Amino acid sequence: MTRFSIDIWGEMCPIPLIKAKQKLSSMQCGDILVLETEHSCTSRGIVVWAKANRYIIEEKEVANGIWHLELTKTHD
Amino acid sequence: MKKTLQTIIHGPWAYWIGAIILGLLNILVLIVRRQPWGVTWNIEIWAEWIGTNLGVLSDRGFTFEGLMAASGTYLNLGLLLGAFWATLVASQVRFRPIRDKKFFFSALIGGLLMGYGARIAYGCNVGALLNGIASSSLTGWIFAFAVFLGTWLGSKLLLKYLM
Repeated sequence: MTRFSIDIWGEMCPIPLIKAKQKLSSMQCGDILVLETEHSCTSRGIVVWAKANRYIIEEKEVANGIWHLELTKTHD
Repeated sequence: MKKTLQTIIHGPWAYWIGAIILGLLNILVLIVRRQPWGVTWNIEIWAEWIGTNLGVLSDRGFTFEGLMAASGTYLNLGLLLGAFWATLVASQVRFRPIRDKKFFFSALIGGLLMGYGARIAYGCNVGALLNGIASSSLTGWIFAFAVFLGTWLGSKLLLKYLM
């Protein structure tokens, strides 16, 4: 179980999601991808996408308008 | 109960709830204004008024008083203030610096194209697409087709130049 992170700070949808998908495909099952964004729609979009794809996703608003996401790759 | 209240104030709302509220408010605008909701026509007459005063456009008779009496002015102001207010209440207001120069230029070019497109099509997403289709206008369907085409092209350009 390895933790990865990608820098999506300041990027607008759908770029963060595309980057997350690319990173995820290079990861092993059980690995965690950590993302941090200051756009509510980016956070929302990734959460909705992760749930639709049956990945484990944890969303936390760590400060006003900043979201910390942890996405666990549960399957290939 | 506390969690429900928290969601109402702070979001996120489900998309379908937003869609229903938007639909009901749109009907209200049509009833009160006796004219469907639109965004860009009002922006155009403001731009024409500014252009006339700068001496770069010929006068088509738009006055400041006329603009301040136009319902579209208040719909657009309400749109901006409402969005700002909602963000403020959710305490998500934040200055977001531009990450990369290319995003600045892509946003600028995109905005210009959208504004120009909306005016030669006599409406935007709201006036031509949403209310066009709602009033069985052929314009709305042609607009929808063009939107899909433009979005497809836009995604290709995004993947090529902005990733």
